[in-house]
Amino acid sequence: MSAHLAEASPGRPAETAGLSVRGISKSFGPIRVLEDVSLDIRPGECLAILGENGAGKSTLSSIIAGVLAPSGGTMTWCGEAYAPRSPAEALSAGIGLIHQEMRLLPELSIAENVFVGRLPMSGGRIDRRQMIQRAEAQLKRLGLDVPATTLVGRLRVAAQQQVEIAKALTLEAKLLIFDEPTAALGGDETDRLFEQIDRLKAEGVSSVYISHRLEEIARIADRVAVLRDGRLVAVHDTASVPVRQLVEEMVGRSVDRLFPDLDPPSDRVVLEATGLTSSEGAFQDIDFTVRAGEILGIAGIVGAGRTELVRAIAGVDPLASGRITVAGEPLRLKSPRDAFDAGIVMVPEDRKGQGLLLKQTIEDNIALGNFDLVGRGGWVMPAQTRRFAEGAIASMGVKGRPEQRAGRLSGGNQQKVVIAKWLARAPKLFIMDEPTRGVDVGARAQIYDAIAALARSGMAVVVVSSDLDEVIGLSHRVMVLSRGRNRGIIERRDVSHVAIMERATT
Amino acid sequence: MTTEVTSPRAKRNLLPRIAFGGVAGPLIGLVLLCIAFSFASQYFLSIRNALNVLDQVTVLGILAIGMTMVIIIGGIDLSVGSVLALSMMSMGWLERMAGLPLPLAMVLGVLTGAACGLVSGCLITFARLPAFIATLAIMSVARGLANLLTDGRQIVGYPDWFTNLATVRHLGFFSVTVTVFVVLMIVAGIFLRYRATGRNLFAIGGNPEVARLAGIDVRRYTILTYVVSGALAGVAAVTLAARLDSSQPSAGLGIELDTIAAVVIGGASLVGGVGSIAGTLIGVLIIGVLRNGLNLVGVSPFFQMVVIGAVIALAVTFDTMSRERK
Amino acid sequence: MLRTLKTTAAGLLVAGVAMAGTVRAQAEDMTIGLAVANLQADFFNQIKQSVEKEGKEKGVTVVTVDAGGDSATQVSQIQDLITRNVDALIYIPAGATAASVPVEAAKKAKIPVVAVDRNPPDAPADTFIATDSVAAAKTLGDWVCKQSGGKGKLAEIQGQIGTTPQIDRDKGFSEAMKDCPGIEEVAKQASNQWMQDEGFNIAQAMIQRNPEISIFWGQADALALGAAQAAKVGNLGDVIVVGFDGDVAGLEAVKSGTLAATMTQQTQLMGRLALDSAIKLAKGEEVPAMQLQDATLTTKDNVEPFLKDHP
Repeated sequence: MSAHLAEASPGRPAETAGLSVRGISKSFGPIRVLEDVSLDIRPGECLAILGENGAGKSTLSSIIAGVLAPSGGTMTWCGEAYAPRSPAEALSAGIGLIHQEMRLLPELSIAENVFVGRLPMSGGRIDRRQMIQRAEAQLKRLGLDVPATTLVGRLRVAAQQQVEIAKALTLEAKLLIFDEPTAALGGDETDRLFEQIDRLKAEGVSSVYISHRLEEIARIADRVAVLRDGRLVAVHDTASVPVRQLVEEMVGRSVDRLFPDLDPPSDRVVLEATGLTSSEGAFQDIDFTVRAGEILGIAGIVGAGRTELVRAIAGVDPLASGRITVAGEPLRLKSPRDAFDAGIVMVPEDRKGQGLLLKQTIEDNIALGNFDLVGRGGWVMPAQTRRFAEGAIASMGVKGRPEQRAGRLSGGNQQKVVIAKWLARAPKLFIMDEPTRGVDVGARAQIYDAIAALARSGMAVVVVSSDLDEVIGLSHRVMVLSRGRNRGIIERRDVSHVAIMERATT
Repeated sequence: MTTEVTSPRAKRNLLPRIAFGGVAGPLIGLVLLCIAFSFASQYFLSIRNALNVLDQVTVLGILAIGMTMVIIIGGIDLSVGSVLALSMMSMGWLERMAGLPLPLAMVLGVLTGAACGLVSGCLITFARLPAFIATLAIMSVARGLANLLTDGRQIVGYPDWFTNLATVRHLGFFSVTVTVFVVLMIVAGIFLRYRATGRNLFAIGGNPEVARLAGIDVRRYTILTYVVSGALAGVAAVTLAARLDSSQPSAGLGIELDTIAAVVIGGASLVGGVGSIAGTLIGVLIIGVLRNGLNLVGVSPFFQMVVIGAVIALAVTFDTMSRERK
Repeated sequence: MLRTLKTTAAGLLVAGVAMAGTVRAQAEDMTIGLAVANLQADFFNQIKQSVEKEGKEKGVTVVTVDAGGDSATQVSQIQDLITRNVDALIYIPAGATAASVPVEAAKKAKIPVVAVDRNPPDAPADTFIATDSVAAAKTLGDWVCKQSGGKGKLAEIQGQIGTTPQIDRDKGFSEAMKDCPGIEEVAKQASNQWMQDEGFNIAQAMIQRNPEISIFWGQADALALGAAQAAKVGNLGDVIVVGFDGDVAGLEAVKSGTLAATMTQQTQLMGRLALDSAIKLAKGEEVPAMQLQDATLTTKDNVEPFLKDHP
């Protein structure tokens, strides 16, 4: 089956339902990002599209959803020629897209976001009650239990993503495209999303599911199409294809392993936290230690307080009570500056909103916060900045030049820039919140290697992740949070999906 | 303009990059404008007229230095024109009515400006008002206070040495006020380019949350930036008083918009994070040369407005287009 | 594409500016600079038009600059006119009190200066042309006293405070009021720009405080027109509104009865006189230091000829 890329020959009339894509190409100037892609999406099926960043997945989905116009090729939808000129046209034909980058209006309520552009009306006025009820019903099915009148800007990233999904699910579309919908979700929310996709399937709605996460694809997709460098490599039935083959097709070479070997940590305690309690109620009474050379994973479902905990340790959010010592020295944290003067640095969860200046160059990003290391007496010379950045770029293997704008880099390279920035300070404790969010498989392995190397060099590392495989594969010990409390720390030899989920759901 | 940097060429391209600091676009515009006016008017191309232009842009230029910093951190300062008037009037009032020596009154005038900036900065950081609204409020308050000091009357009768600061060209070149302007430009240019504090302003404008997580005290920097902008409005006030040989409560009406235009023509982005003193200088000169040249050519005042508006739109369009092409 | 656009735009600019230059070159030898305070005000605009018209007839080039009411701008503009080597300068000062800096700069460059409407007190121009505002305002005040039967409540809307015309008009009118004790002044407020919308807002507030106002005295026609409008909106029955300047809108309003009277300044004459004086001064001839002009009391009875042919 895998060899037959196009099931229907061009001469034969297309099936009466479903989407046929024939010979689609797309170029941006001289750069060809899609090359002669032909695919069929059958009614009621979930087709996964797999590929590294830059393989053309998002471009393909944008073309189907009317966001971009193809440079060549045709599409047929429900037996008729289909060439949407705008997302609105695609929507009215019954094709909707859930964007990887969230497109929400932070100053509007959840309900208004879900129904924006098609607010339910009655008697010439907006029917608020109906709007709120329908939005809340949909949110509940996705496992998000907040009033639909909450402003979207107040929600955490994961909840925002769920709103984005709820918006799409209420479109009553016949084909939905999910572009990395779980990038910010925890395991539980992901399961709820899959239940919804199953329900859609049963109703005959087709879906296209774009993801890096192979285990999700195995769970949800009927078939999987692999893209590489803008070309369709293969289409498989999910049930019959080994994961290893998919990965190799995706990266174009064989991958032997994703996670690095870990060296045993030393006995020297770097961070000791006792009785940490959030001033905003996100977590209570949390005790733990991290030793030099150790990687501590923090797992938990969304809303468990993981991000809030590490933000407080990094001096970003205030603590109500509790004691933190670094290498035996007690710490008073009032600002991020206090934290990194004490040797604590953090790579934040929201890379684009909190970690990087997208419009500025790589060298500016790396120098930011490190000016005391770049120059003397407050002077910062461009040549020194350049040398400093070049050193950091080389140490992390960033694919980019110092004068390139950070916004132009791939997710993986952006993450490496953020890590490189803090590496130069030789910190004692390195905190990573969702280090591989939106990063493709190839780059992921490199980031894992880099994290292991940090630990090997004697730093203490804390990794927060929603990806259970990541937490398990990367950590010496895993601390599980649930509803703001520490539900136990699991040693590497005992750790498993089950062990984590048992504690995470108490 | 070519930032096509492949590694062997990178080193060679570094020199023009530093020299022009990414302001090649506006610079080309300025040069074209000068060439055009040289052909159109026999009086344009002379040292004396060049000095006149510098003289004429001094006030705008000093204000634009502060505005550049404010715009780099992603803010806006609508109050500079009114703060200028208030500083000017308090200087005059302190000297004429309160009988302080003029040099002291000059310093206090500058401090008045700084105090206005402090209030704006606190409104923005502590009361969390948008910069647009906070400085709009100060704009109104300062203009009112400037008028209240003398019930709307202007103050005249400064000593000769004071006017001479603006009118006597030492060694045949720079008057004291123009020298102050040039020195401030150089200092600000060095500050924004080579000082860690200056670089931090770009980070705040790029993304305040990223800056905060990088250990920058965003609040303190924001307040200080508005204080500097206010103080520079005070310096501009002293300069203008010397130039007019009087203090007027209606001075600087609408000049905040010229100032913003100059900074944006110079390549700064109103979203924040982008901008340079070199660019601002060019923006200021474009506006100054344009007004001066059109007067020398004898273009009708109504048509002048049309031309100036068109040039602002063109200049910023070219800049945006060349940025996008990169 | 970008390059082409840039080149085209630059070419157009050069061509445009150069064309303006060639038109200029055909005119005669003498060039007179005209620095206007604010062309948005009709009074100044009328003088400007008169100077330019006269210049055309006499074959003299007139270069006009407009300060838009800002004295700093005006200083720069006069600097440019001096650079341009004008033979004489007509200076209508912007700002509250006329700035002396431009006159001094012109004198240093040996360029004679004709001041119109306002004269810098500490550095007077070679000649000063204006209306005798004190006398004119007194004439107007006497007429108001007679017209109202010597009784009523007066509201006064002043011009920009501290300017020569504001001070003079205040002075003349209050002299007339001294002889008219039956009229009580109930409100007095200054405007910033001599503009109609200011007049409207100020008058509306005055009516709010004191609905019994029976006389509005606007120190410019625009201010008086604003007051008349406010009186109409406020349903004030019998109210006498008088203005000053006799600009076109004011005269039309006198004709229609909106304004009871205005003092018509001889703007066309002042413009002609300013240009003639400038030419004489440039040729080195003598001109009197003060050239004050009369203004004519204008009511419905005598407005027609002024509308046809403005003095």
